[in-house]
Amino acid sequence: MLNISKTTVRFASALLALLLALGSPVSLAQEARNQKRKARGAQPTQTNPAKSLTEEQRVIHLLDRSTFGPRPGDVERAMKMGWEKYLDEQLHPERLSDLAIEQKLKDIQSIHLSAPEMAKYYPQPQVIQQILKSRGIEPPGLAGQNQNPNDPKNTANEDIKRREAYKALSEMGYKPPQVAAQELQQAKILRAVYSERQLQEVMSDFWFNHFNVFIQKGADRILTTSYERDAIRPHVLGKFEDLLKATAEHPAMLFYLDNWMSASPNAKMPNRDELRRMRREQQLGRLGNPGQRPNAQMPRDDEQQMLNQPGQPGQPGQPGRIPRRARGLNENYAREIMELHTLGVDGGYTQKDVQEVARCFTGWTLRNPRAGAEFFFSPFMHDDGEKTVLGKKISSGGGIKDGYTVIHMLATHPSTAKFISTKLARKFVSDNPPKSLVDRMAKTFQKTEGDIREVLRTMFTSPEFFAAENYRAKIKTPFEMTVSAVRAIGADTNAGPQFHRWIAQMGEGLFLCQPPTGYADTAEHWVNTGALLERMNFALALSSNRVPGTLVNLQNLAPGLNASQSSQVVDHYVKLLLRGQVSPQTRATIDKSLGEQQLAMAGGRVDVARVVGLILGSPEFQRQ
Amino acid sequence: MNRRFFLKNSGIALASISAATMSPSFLTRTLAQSNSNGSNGQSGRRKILIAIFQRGAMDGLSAVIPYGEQEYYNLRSSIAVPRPGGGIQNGQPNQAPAIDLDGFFALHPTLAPFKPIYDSGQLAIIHAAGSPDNTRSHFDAQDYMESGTPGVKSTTDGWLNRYLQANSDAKASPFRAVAMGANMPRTMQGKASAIAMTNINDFAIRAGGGEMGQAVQGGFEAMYEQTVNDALRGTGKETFEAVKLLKRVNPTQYQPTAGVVYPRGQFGDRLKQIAQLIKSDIGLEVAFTDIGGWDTHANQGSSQGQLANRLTELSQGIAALYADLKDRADDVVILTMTEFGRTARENGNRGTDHGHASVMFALGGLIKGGKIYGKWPGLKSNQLYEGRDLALTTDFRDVFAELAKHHLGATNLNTIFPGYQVNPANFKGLVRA
Repeated sequence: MLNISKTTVRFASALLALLLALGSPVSLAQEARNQKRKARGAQPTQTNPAKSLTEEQRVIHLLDRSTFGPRPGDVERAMKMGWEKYLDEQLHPERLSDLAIEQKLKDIQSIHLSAPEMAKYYPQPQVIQQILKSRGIEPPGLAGQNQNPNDPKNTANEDIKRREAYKALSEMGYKPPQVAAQELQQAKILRAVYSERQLQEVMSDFWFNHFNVFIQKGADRILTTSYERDAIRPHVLGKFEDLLKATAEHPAMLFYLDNWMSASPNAKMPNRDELRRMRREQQLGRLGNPGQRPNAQMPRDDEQQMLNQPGQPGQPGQPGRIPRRARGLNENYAREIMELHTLGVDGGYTQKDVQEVARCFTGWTLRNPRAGAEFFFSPFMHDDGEKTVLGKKISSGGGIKDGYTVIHMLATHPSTAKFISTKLARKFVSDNPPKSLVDRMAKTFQKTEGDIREVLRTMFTSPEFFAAENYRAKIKTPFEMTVSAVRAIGADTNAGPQFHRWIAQMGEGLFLCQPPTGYADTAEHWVNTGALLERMNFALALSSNRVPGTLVNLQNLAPGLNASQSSQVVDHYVKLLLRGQVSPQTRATIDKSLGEQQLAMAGGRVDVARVVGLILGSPEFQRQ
Repeated sequence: MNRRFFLKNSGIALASISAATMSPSFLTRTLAQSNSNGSNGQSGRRKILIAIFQRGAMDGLSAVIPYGEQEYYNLRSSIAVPRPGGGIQNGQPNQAPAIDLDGFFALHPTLAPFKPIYDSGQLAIIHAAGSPDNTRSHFDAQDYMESGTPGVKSTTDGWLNRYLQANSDAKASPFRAVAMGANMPRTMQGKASAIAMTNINDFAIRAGGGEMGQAVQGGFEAMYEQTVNDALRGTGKETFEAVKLLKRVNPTQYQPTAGVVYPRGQFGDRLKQIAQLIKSDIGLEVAFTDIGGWDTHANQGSSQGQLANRLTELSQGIAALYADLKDRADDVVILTMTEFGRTARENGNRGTDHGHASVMFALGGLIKGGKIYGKWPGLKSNQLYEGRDLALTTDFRDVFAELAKHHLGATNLNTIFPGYQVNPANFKGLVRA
């Protein structure tokens, strides 16, 4: 995978939006003036009334932005229906039948499992070690560790051990933890490619990214599946507050941003009974089998800190445990819920607010971290005193309600309306969304108490959305590029690891964004040397059937085409894949390449795969 | 600019403005090798830093064993490495003894390839070194070490990228900073240019070989050159310049120096490619790669076992790299780092848990090696950090800063390590004047 990070010039990126209009007759001077006006937040004027989009362009624009790319025939269908009706249909996905994708997802086991079931079938590495040992099987080195590569016998031994171990584990019904991530990635790609409810899928991706968790952080390996399915997906077009609440309560988020460890500095000590209960649950959690004796060893790493309370009566032979740092407030979630999820970094909160919010969320923790982890409120960890958040007093004694009070305050805060509207406008309209639109969307947000559907409707029906300078002005993300390529040529994919590999190499590994900020959504982020190379290589591999698990039949796209007439071939695919939106230079380049002997196959037939590969890797196809 | 603007997972595009200054003549300038970082290597060539991140928390106590301290053996009844000259067998036959260094410390036997380099005064060891932050989360601790700002999560770039920014070079090759790996590591993320690659041979349009491939590459190049989209055009041109430069210098023509054998596997392979890039004089100044598998919670082993296997690969790889770059040893420093160490006492699974301080290795022709640096805090229970871990006596930033200043020639250390008062009095004296 390749990446180059370069110095960026802010002006150039702002200019980008304007200079992208293909074949635009608008002069540079006019563009500069428009740019200045844009910077002041006013609507750019059109010098030429003909510069508004045609009906077909509106449809293409809407499909480009609200789906993962049109399939052959999609634009025609939407034109016949009219874009307003199409939009309305997509805003109500429940009214759309979606049998094809349901069929494809049926046999992907893990995405249908509850969190406890996930924990059962996908034990953590340390638990795997114990399971194997309890069966008398010597555990191999932890998965992924190379043994001494210079000793072939050593490697061979380890391979044998690993195979035996996996065989034993799968006979017992267990799966290697990486399968959970692979199946989740697979399901997400399949939905993006095959679902009719495209806007729903686009919004699922948007909201997961907004409320990002990193699937490789400890317990999130198996908690993310339920997080996406149960906390994100049901609310993507519903009420923002519901979505916020669901993510705040979900174990994946509680774990990812460490809130489960957050405890009041004045936390009451659990009494003996509570301790016994917690220890029992730890035993259950570790092995999933109430009968087995847990390892008497103290908790090993951060994931088990939950049960490490100071003053715990020492077990026989064990020295008293020194209290760890986690005995205290953890501000991580409190900060991110305001900075990243609701108000935005300039949304008007202070460091004091961060601490007060953290106090509100103390006690929002987990139990059974290794057996599916449930949200659990621990009164012992909760700071029950009076708090002041964003100038509002929260009385003492609120218990679990403190957290919900904060959630409600943040969800209904005007900064949140603005922040969310800005993010949506940036994703769907422009890297530099016009203030007039953001304001209108924020107003809808507040008026409808955070109804995402209505905010989107305001956005998609706005004149700003259909402004000519926004047409084909955004760069597709790697996920969007690869999926739109598959959809554009009607390829069939199993969306397996060989496909996902490409997305990861371009820098957008699904569920693999480590920091809570999630992936960005602006051109600068995705346009870099390494990623461009990978896009071109993907285009070539896809079109010549070199992506294992993905099948392309280009003949189906061009019935009756005279393959010896290179200009006809190029015409056809440019129309199909780019709706004819290709610059004269790009067109000339493709013609020239075909004209050269090298690309003509024996017998004078045009190498269609090459044509399609060049188009899918072209600068035009990177845009939406 | 919003501080979250530069996000962590990818590089940033080159704007058209700087792209316009790229012309074929820059290729010649790069190949002429002007030394622009201010260092005064006698060869006149640029100084190079190769950073190797051991991800997973290496157990410093068993890599460089304080065999002179009895506590080490009291705390680790089944995984302690035997003293030099034999001794404790741990109930396991044929556990090779540690390799004495200075009468108190000894090398793990599988770090044997380091011994001659240590003896010739080109390998320095910094013990009880690491991050002052007390997190024991791999995720957070790696983040802190790579960003160079322990305890601060909002830093958007890596310390090496800030070095590049603070010591910018308008004539720099696109290959000034290279990370061998699939993703741009945190250490190198930021505004300054850097490349991440897994394989020199893959850094190209893979359209099949021969004329067909050439034609396709030429087709793409022409398209990107002509596009009206500034970001795509600028970056497109950069892409093909870098691809062509790489092809022209052809780093893979540089086979390892006679007698040098890299260990098989990804780590050895990446080090070999770093050496190839360096030998091709493509303009590499800072390189980065990582090696995992250090999280030995169970069955760590002593002279043999999991940790021993990792140390074998580590030392064989680094020793090979160092030997391969023999001719440029004075220009090169190789530095290892790990996010934290491990508990002093073994746990109930014959392993160790997340700890605090660990060990760093620094190799180079101008490194004042043959010595163990850092104040040794001791392993008695009241000397351990939080009663369980090797305590910290050297902040990793002091080591990074010293090498940035005295090897690479950086002058603005406080911008490279924001929030830290870099005090040269704390430098260990690792670099020969």
